[in-house]
Amino acid sequence: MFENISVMRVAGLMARHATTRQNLISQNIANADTPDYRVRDIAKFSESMSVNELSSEARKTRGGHMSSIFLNEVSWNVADSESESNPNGNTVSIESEMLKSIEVEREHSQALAIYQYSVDLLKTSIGRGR
Amino acid sequence: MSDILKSLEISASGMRATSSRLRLTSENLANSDTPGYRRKVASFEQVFAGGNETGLVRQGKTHLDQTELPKIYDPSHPLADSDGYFQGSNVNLMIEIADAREAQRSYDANLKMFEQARKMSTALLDLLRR
Repeated sequence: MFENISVMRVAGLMARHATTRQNLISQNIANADTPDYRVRDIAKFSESMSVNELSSEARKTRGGHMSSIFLNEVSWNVADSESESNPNGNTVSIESEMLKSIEVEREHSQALAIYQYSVDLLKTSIGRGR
Repeated sequence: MSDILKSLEISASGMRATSSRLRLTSENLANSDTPGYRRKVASFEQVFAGGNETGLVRQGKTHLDQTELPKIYDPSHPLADSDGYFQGSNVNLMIEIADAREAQRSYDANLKMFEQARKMSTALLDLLRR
């Protein structure tokens, strides 16, 4: 039901994007000493939005397909990033992973705050203010 | 949510691999004066389940460092040969301590990721609770 409210849908997507990215960061850090391991990452949320055609403009042009876009159908491609490697072929840099993880944490709490705010708004509109 | 649980699992596997690396390091350090002892080394590897990548990491097979054992001159030593030499161990304290420090840092990094994934899931659950 809430998926059809654009703000909540995007907030949900954003939170899901954050957890997916967090998962990959954990993977990279766990494998920071594994020989021949390549760093994995997905595009930032703001970049992936236009790729997934989820902006409001794109939705309007194909309104008939709107119901087919559901939260769990959107996936992000995992791309091996090209960076210079250690002598053992590993490309993980713990510093940049840490930086990414902070970004992800912010993104996640931002998404949850937006979601919470929308829920509060709905509650207020049916007369059950918080 | 499953992504978060997966992150926790991956970080835990990273910590497990790191602590077993630390165990090898302490074995080496403890045996640095054992005659004929060769230092143990192991590298990390990714875990595959049914041909698929799981993102988990584990310590691979343990190898013995094949560098030549130093010959130590001490005619009074019980293991000394007729020329007064015996074979020492090829443990280099400097290398072991550097390894231990690296293991500690990488453990810290994994722990931080674990902590963050936990925080994210707590925030998610708080949203439901309110």
